[in-house]
Amino acid sequence: MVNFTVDEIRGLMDKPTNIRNMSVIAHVDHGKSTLTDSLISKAGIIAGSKAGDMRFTDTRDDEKERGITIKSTAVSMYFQLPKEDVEDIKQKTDGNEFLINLIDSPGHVDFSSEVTAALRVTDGALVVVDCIEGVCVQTETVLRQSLTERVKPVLCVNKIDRALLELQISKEDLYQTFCRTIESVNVIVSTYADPALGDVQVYPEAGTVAFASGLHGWAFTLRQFAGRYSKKFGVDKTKLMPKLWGDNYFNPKTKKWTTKAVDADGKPLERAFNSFVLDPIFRVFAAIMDFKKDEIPKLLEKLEVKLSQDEIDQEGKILLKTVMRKFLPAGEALLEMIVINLPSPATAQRYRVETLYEGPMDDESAIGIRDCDPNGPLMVYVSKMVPTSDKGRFYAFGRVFSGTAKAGPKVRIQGPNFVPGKKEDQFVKPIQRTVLMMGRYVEPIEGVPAGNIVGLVGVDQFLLKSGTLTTSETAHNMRVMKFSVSPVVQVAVECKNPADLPKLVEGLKRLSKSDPCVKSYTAETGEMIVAGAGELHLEICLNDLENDHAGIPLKRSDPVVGYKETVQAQSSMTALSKSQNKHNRIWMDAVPLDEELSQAIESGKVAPRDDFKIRARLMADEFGWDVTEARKIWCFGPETTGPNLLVDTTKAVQYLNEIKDSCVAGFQWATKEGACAEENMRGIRYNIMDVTLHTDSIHRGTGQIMPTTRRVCLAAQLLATPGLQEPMFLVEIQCPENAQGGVYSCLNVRRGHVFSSEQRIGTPMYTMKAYLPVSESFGFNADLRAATGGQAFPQSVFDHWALMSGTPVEKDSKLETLVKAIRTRKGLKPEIPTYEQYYDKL
Amino acid sequence: MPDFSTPAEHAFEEPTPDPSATANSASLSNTAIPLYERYEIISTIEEILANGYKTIALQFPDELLAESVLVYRALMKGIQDSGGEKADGVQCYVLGDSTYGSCCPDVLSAMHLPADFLVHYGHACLTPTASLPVRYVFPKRSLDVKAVAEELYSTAFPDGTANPDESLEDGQLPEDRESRGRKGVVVIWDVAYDWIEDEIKTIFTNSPNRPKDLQHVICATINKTRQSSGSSTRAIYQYAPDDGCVQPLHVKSPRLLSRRLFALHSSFSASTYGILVHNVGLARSHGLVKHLRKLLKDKGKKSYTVSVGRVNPAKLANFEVVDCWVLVGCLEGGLVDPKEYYKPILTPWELQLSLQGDRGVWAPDQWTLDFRRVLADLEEEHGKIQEECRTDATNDGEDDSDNETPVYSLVTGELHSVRRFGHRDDKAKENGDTDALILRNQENALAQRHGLESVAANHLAQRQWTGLDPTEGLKGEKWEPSMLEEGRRGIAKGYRVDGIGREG
Repeated sequence: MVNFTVDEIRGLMDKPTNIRNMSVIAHVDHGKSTLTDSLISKAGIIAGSKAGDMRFTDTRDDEKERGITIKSTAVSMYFQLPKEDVEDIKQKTDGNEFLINLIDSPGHVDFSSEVTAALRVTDGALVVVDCIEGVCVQTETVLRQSLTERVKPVLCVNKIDRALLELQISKEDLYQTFCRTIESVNVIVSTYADPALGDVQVYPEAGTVAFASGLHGWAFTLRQFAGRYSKKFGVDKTKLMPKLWGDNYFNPKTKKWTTKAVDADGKPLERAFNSFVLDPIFRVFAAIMDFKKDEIPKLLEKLEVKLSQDEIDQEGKILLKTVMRKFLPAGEALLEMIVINLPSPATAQRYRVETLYEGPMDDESAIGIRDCDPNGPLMVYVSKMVPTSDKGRFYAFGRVFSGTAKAGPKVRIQGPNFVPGKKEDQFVKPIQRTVLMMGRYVEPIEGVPAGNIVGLVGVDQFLLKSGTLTTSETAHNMRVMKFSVSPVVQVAVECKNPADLPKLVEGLKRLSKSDPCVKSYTAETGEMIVAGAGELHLEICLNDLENDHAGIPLKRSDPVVGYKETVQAQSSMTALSKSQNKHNRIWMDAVPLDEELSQAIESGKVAPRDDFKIRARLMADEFGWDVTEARKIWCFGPETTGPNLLVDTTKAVQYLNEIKDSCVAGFQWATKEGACAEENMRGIRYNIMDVTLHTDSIHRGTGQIMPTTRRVCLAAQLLATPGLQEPMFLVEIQCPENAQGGVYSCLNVRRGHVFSSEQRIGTPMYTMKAYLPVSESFGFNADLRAATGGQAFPQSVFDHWALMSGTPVEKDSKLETLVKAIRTRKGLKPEIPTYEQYYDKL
Repeated sequence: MPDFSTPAEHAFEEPTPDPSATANSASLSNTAIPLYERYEIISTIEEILANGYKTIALQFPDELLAESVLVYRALMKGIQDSGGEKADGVQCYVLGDSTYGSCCPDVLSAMHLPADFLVHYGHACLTPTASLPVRYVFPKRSLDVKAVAEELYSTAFPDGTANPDESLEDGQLPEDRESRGRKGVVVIWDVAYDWIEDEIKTIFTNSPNRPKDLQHVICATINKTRQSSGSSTRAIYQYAPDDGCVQPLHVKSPRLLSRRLFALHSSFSASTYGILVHNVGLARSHGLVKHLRKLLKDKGKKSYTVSVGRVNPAKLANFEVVDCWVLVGCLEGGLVDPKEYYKPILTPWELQLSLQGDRGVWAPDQWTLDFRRVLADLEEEHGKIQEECRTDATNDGEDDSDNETPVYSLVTGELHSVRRFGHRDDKAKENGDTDALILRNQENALAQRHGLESVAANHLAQRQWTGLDPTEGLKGEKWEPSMLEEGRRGIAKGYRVDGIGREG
């Protein structure tokens, strides 16, 4: 039975100090959804006995089939903290009732974008780590993401049952395993932590680490045991907690605490954690699993666990589960940890506002967000779209950061391309309804105040994937989310029956809405391209498209990879192009851009919308740019945000500012379709060296300048040793030692290279890390399984763009063949144009 | 019936230079055939005299201009020699530069004379023209028809039968089951071979290579059958006379058509259209332009009608506000390679399809450049719109909100807000703003007019450079009006500054 009502939740929504918005993040298969079940069962949404098997938050059929989470799912629940524990909360609180909005996120790397969308609307993260596998690649990715979003982490070390039952390791070994896991988490945390967050490392003695078995539904933090023993010892709980971790030993003879591992006689002492925390657990396991029937009742009495009549008759694992669940209920321990340690919206928005809001920090919207003010101007960030039962319609899923979202009044709906003061990408429409997202159900709810997560009805057709809703006329956008994955694997789709085209268009639209990361567009050849983060992601998307969104049979091409065009040297001579009327000339040089700067642009660290003076300062300090030149960046491209720059390095050219718009348009065009293969350009800096213009504005109109700028960009590119960059996957492979050979041979065939191989301490498993070109990755998983007898498990995530050796302008080179193949696929003339085609002689 | 012979295919590629056209025309000057015969001087004179034309324009393609004087002299001599009343005052003129492509009769230049008859020499696209009688004199090329028939039959029917078994069917078109049993062929030739029409007909019908079970052989010149420029449902083979080889065209045509599909998609998010009149002299082009304008207006789109003569990227890029072009041109010039152009260029048929929105069905075999069919479609569409408007009028409120729904563009994969202009003129008029010329808003931007949005003003507001700051000098406290000074004047070719000198 659900132990709360919607009205109760609605009541709690008005107390931002008593709300906890949190996401559950982890590597794939570390047990997020299973653990989430325990939390949900605590709230009575599902029966306690089902927790662990049900995976309530996996709502789709394919999620159940594959046993992995694909979409993030939100659940709201009510939690009551024992009154005496309220004082442990360091932030402002109002009563002991709490509203917890929990989002379960997918762990597979291909769906990282879902995690990003979840993190944006939450303030805290429960990081789940498998105690045997330890910290994996995706653990690191999601932790990094949460820290850049200024989301505070707490840790849950999961699957302890495995360590106890399968590996049968000793108490001290288990302690060491825990230490290592916590250590590696803290290494990542300290690397990426934002100073504004303060110390966000996790400490078991502070109660920010929980140890759990999601499958069996039990978990504990040191608080639980400290609470238990504080009564016994008559010591204050807060004083006892630090004693239960680290090098603290209790000498039972002297009844004294010490930090030495040996007593006065040189006899070894047992670590307090082992003797006070692990010992009871080990004893329960030993008693039940070894069927020592007579010991069990005694033990249960000691642990204050009471079983019902039919539960007493249980045996083995079932009994173990029942006992442990009563002894250390997971929901309580975890929810307690969340409520006590994670920030409330009121606390979090104060420091998150800077990273959330694009506008000035002193306007009404920023102040509303900062204060989490339900009476301020409405600011909602929609982070993703959740399909409704009504086909083609979506709930806009987001968070109210300021004001109160309610049905009725018109709000401004601002898409990602909205610029304050302009009308582009902005609509003024009413919200039709507000709903509470409850996993697979929704509950209508009236008026959602600041600090809450909400589903909105009626705004979906005005936003593609994400956007800002506001009532303030001066509001800027909330910052657009940056995903750690990018859609690098592409497939061309076509409907089998040409008459189905409108359905396909509608289907692609729905697909783009429903997934934060997937991209669909039409190539110039008329092919419809769907691009995803990886093979699995694409497969899921295309299945959705075929069966759900479009509902028509599709033809799919083999997956292809998008390349980027770049340059490897400065233009060998300054490129010159003349306008068609021969009255205007533009001289331009192409220079390679630092890889670091390209990445900074892609990650949004250097952004076109930043204040140009601050940006110039940053570029001068970190990338060695000349400040005056950095101030004269005309634009970024392609799509005005890409990692190519157009820089004005001219001196005293008359009318130059008049042609800026035309130059920018030509530059955007050129960087979108490079000269070699008509792929996007990346990492090219174009310097406008000189410009001569006709004195009459009519003769230097867009028609003259824009095509000329494009031509000169292409000429400069071809003169600067053009190159190609290909996307690379970072592949992390877990395998036993004997499978390593198979992994190496499999990678070698595919131009991959291993750059690290480490044994996981305490296990026979090795963790190998390798770079693998995305173009070679198709079918890699299957091949690897075959080559290693199914012992190796790869996880591939897009990592970086790697420059391919050679240049396509060299005749008969490998790159030329590649570029020709791309050109043929695109229906272009196979020959790569020479620079003379774009270069005009003086 | 599909056709896909030389000019149609060439229409997809660069319009100039066209090797086949040049080759064809060059053969006109082939001295093997005497001038009189080559240029059909005698029959031309007969036509002139019979209809009593007085002013005659002669249009030559560039490569034939060299012989234009000879033709002119022969014509004038022939007319004078014929004597009679009708020969009095007859004068021929050679047109120099053509306004549009040389495939179209340059009616515009001829009307400047004003001529009452135009003789067009060389390769022609045969798009019907209005307002002036035109005589076409085609280049004449010789052709070894037998060899052609042999070559084509053997390529198209490699095993000598019209119903080849499965394995021989083209791999590219697996769905194309109905074309397996081929019952007949259509032979289509370029205008340059029109003079040997009879020969072609007999040879193709009686060729020994003709498959036994082939029932029909239909023969036609290009202009009679040109309806669609490519359909993927039939196999098409092209014989190139220059190198004597046969190529299958149907392999390529789906790709060309899907490029058109791309243009179509890019037009979905357009709100301002440019109707580009390529050639004003074409029959029905006037009506078509009128219809297109009306259609665009009905759909709440803004349209500009532009005629720029020969189309090139620089000319079109000057019209920055235009999101999408519609090219109203002849059968050959009605399609340009969009590669170099900044904005998509549609054909009228594609435009009406794109404006149908969800109702529109992309049917490649319907694709056409024929004005007549487009006009028919447009009229049908217009009827539907009016019907829609009537239904709309009843549930007005709902419609308004739908207007602003952004459109998902397949090209970029993003949502685009499509502005609608003056969807209901009557409403604007009711506002009573019609008399207000220009309303200035607070930022001094000219944005509102007639209660409608102005495209140009909006576009200006989006630019970074919007000219000199109109508020310059109005800021601050020390604002003093200054005397107006006289600037320069004149035309772009050379301005006069202060009446002193010329500035180039």
